[in-house]
Amino acid sequence: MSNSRLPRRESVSTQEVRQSLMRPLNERFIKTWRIFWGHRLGRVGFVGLCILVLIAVFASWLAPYGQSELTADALAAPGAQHLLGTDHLGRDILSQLLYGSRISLMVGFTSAFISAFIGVIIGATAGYYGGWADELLSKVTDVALMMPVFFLILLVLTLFGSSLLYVMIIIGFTIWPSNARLMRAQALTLRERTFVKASRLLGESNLNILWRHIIPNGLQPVIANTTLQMAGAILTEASLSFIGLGDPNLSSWGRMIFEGRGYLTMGWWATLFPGFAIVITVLILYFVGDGLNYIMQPDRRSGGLS
Amino acid sequence: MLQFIIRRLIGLVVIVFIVVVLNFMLMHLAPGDPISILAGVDHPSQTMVNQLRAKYGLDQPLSVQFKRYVGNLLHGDLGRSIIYDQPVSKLIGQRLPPTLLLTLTAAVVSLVLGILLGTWSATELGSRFEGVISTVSYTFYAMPAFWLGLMLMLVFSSILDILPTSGMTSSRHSYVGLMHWLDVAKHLVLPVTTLILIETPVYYRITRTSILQSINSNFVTMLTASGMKESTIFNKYVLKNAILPTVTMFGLRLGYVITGAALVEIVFAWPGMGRLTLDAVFRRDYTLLMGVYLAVSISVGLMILITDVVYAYIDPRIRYE
Repeated sequence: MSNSRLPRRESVSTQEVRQSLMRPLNERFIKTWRIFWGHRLGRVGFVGLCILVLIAVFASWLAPYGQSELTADALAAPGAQHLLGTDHLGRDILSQLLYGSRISLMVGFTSAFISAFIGVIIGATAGYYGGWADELLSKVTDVALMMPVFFLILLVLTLFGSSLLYVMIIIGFTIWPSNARLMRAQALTLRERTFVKASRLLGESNLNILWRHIIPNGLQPVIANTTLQMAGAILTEASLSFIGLGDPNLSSWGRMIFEGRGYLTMGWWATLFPGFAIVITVLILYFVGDGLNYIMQPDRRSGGLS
Repeated sequence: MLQFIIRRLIGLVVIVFIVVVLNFMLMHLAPGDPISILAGVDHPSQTMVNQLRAKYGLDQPLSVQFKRYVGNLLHGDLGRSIIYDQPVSKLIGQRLPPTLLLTLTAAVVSLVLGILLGTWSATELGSRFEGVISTVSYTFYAMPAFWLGLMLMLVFSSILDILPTSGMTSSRHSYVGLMHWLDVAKHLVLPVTTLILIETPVYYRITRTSILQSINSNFVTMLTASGMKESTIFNKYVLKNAILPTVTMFGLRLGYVITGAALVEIVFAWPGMGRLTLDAVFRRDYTLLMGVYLAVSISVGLMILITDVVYAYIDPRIRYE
């Protein structure tokens, strides 16, 4: 072994290694992207999501009226003045919908992120360590998956007050079980893989293996699930607002339905259009989720809905 | 089988205990004080506050309160609703049956409908019918139940005027016997339809996917090679295997269905748990809300238990897990 040659060679080889690592990663990303893009629904969903985000960002430019501006005519039917009509206080429905997209997307992103975080940690721990930890965590997950958590959310929000932040946090804290299940399944297979076994033999700590190998490599199903969770969170927020437990200071889509409900026969537009907005947003997220799931399917012939 | 049921029952007890502990913890973590609301806002006298505290047992240490809470629950006493000034168990006892009627009718009909549509569309893959059903199911799956309820109400009650808007029975007539049940059925149509439209897609999709999966599995190829008739393979083997995930889903969805039912009840003024929940939320009646949460959890737990038993009956593998 001639140690003298090592430093010089190492500097070259690190560069080489880095390049050879980078290239496949890039190629892999492009390849994955192509598969996703080849999925019709996924494509539609992605474009839709981009448009939604743009709407949320530029809501104040796009909206013909202010966020909660009261105009002179209350319950005006859809027409030239107000494209989608006004509600019982004279607020322009279209403008409110555009601003509302911010709330929905924020709820979706934040809740789904919290849920992914909790779910990944619980699932990865259960699957990687196995034994009693797995037993316990899996039981907890199963119970949490089946229980009517909505009533728990109601209870918590009634007790602690319903600000948007609480709504997002509590939704995130109750929807993680599906992520935990997905991550656990991934961890179970990953821990038997050679590179993980090798890392263990090399003396890497369990925490390190979890963090650097198990979680990054098993994240994909969770990411696909996250879009569905965003959709679920948006629906839950709407339901909470409908019960009157949304943030009272923000007019989210659910709250618009809640308020429009009393004027259903006189001004159906105040209820109809917010519902459309929710359905379209949720559909877009489902489509993206479908596209992401499609990437993971080994057999890409069928549409694969669930 | 008996062992299996006992094991599941123990699981149910554990779940109920967790819900009880959660309830109790939340109640004592929460800010705010029902007594100050009860006593009125304008300078309640200390004697009155003390009296009210003593009346509801809020002056005792936590451990004593928890023990008493659990003890009371075991006697079927869920506390007293502050807004109705009635025992919570009585209120829930009145409101739970209509909710369960709604939930179970919707869940079972959706399951059957979903399996039928899913099977049909799996055999007609790529046809026009399959495309339409898949799109429609996707759309309904994306809808908030309460909004769909409102829209159905708008169309069928307000515009077409063929179905009653709200309630469980007509308020103008008081029917008896068969007429009474017909009246209830008529009021049930819209809320149940709403829930069915939302729930069917779930079963439709999972049935469709699992049938497609089991059609492509090896044992089907094998049976086909053995010369068995295709319809026999499908009815006797493919369907039987494909139904199992759908039944699993049924248990998983019950919690969602009862939630959806509660929201739809609010829309249609169905005299069930939904209305009770709404009142409790609006007037901050924690005792009632906790009772509702507990009752709903136990109901769902029991329904899941029954589903599990049925499942174990269909699929012997489960019994010996």
